[in-house]
Amino acid sequence: MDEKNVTLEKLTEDLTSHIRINRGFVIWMGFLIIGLCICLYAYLQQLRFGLGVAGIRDYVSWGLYLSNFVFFVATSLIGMLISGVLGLIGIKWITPLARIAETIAVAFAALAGLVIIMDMGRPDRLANVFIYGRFQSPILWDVSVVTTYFVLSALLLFIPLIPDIAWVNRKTDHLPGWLKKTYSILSLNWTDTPEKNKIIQRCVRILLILIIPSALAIHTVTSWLFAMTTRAGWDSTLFGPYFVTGAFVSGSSAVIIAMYFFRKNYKLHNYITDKHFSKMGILLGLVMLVYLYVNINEFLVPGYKLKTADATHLHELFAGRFAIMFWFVQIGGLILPIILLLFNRMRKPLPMLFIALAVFIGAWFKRYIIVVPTQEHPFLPIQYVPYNFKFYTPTLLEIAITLSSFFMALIIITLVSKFFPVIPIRETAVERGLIEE
Amino acid sequence: MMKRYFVVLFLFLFAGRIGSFAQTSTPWVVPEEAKEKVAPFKFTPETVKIGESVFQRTCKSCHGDPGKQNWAKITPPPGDPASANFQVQTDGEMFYRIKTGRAPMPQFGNILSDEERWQVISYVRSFNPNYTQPAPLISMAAGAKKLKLYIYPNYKLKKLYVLCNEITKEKKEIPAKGIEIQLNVKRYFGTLKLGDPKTTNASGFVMYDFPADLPGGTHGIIDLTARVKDESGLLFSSDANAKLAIGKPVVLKRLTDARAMWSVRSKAPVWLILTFSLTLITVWGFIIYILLALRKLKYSS
Repeated sequence: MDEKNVTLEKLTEDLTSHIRINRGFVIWMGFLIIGLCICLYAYLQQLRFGLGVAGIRDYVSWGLYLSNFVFFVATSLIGMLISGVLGLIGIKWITPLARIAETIAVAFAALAGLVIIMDMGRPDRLANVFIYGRFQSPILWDVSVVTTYFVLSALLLFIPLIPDIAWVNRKTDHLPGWLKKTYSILSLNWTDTPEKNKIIQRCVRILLILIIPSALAIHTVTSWLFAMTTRAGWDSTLFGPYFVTGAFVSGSSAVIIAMYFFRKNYKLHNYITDKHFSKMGILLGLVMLVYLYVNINEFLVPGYKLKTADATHLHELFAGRFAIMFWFVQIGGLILPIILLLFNRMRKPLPMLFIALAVFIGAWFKRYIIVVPTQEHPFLPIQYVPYNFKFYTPTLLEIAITLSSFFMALIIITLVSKFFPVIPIRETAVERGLIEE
Repeated sequence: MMKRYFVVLFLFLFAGRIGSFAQTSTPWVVPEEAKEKVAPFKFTPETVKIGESVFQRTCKSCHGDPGKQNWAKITPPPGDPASANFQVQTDGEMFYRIKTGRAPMPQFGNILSDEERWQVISYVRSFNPNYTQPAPLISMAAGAKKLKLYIYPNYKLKKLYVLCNEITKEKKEIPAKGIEIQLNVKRYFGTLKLGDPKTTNASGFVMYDFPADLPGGTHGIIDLTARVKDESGLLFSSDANAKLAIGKPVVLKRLTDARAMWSVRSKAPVWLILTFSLTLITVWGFIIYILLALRKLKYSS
């Protein structure tokens, strides 16, 4: 279809046609909710019997939950890269992807906060972090910055949506009344006047600028939870950049996976094109190259010096207990995808989906590799403890509780993408010259 | 790993050999005249009590509690002072051995006064029901002198004067000339000699400068002891003590006193509180601005 001939009506029709409650949606949501309920049952067990139901013990006290937390914070950073960095530079092809990235950012940032609570034996004491938190503690910085970043991301998702919500409300009469009512509340009495447009533009501009330092802060502070200790594998000045560049990798892959499913399920082939996949492929390749470079620094520098504790740690990673996971992550999740992405043919939607999935899963296990092995080798020897204190193995309940975070993130992403236009209508129309700025 | 284990084992055995070798082969010889030395006072429950406190302070760490066989595990073993092979010694032998020491037994010549050494012996003897004290040296031998020491500080001139008086048979004090005086400072363990012994002048005085750089606790207080140095065994005197504020006051700064990264929240570094708070206030200021803008968006026509 010739893009110039697409009328405003057709564009609106294309971008809002997925906003309806159909069978596929009900089945998918049913699956997610049942999955979530099973996992929440596991969480209830943990609430009842305490953190002992998880595999974490005195020595390895940060296990699956903390790895998962780092992963969620990491993935949420993509909103900043796509909307903030690329948006402010003025790159046009991100227009249909910006909202996808923002949705992922909001869902993953919200869940990052929840995942932390899952790791608390007494979640009712959460407020104590703020009441008794020390200014010197990266944990206080972390909860502050996660909260702030979540609010910024939510606003950055919501504010550009306002004109679209009003639009959708006008154009869709087939939707149930409660949904229409929600739309009319959320659209904040929007009318397309220059004055109101100006307010929105100013807010978005402020948010785009604010989101960049906040996103850098959120993941740098997360890295400091580790790097502010002297433990082998964590004691690194490179940890901030290590986390931030790694975040772009997992976030980009998440966006690619989401792009693929939205395009297919919501029939957005004319808006999320092969060109977008190719561009995202190049972006993913680029951030992975940067990440590979940081990885080389992170392993070669201590590996060259081989201080006693580092030597033990690196041996565990390269040839010890974590070797299979480590090489799977480094080769399957990093080196191989970089090589594949060099080829044009691999940057088509379907191959990209598989590459992104490999990268995404690799990125998750990468967090496990960063968090867990270090703790199995404390500076003072482990003595007189049961076997399961020495080596960490996640329990089934722990895995279920961890999975619940993915169910919840998917539910948020599904709801947002189902009831709001995935692709900004007004912006696309302006870009295509269908309406005046 | 195995190799290191053998080295340790070897050293251990070898050290044990040296210990037993030393114990059996080189007896700790005490000069004859020292063997016969006796205490200048009678052992009483009071002397036993004082001796016990001295023992607790200076002897227990190695010898343990007398009669309980709980001495420190070192080689050669220190042994239990209440045991028979200790008690067979004469008082003079004990006195000599406490005073001179022999590695690893420390010398207590400077750490304890003669009086304290006798008090310790009276305590150790209290565990021996068969012990009878030899007649104390109460009648003075020819040439024996009773001395008394005084310490006088002169803060203006920053000098310390030690006066040594002889107590005559008529209980009168006259200046004692030509007596060697050693000035000591009390430390956490034992004493520190302040210079060499000095000999009293015709007026019975010796003079010292204030020690210039001795640390003396929070208030700079130095615990001085003047002691008569006596090789002949004919001079009887108690030490003179004085606690004087002539040292350098040492105020120890605790690491948690100042604002620091490792301290509690109320002692967080100011720059950190400011950076953290101002950053949060700035960002949340913008967020509130945006929320107000949204409100304006809703209510403007």
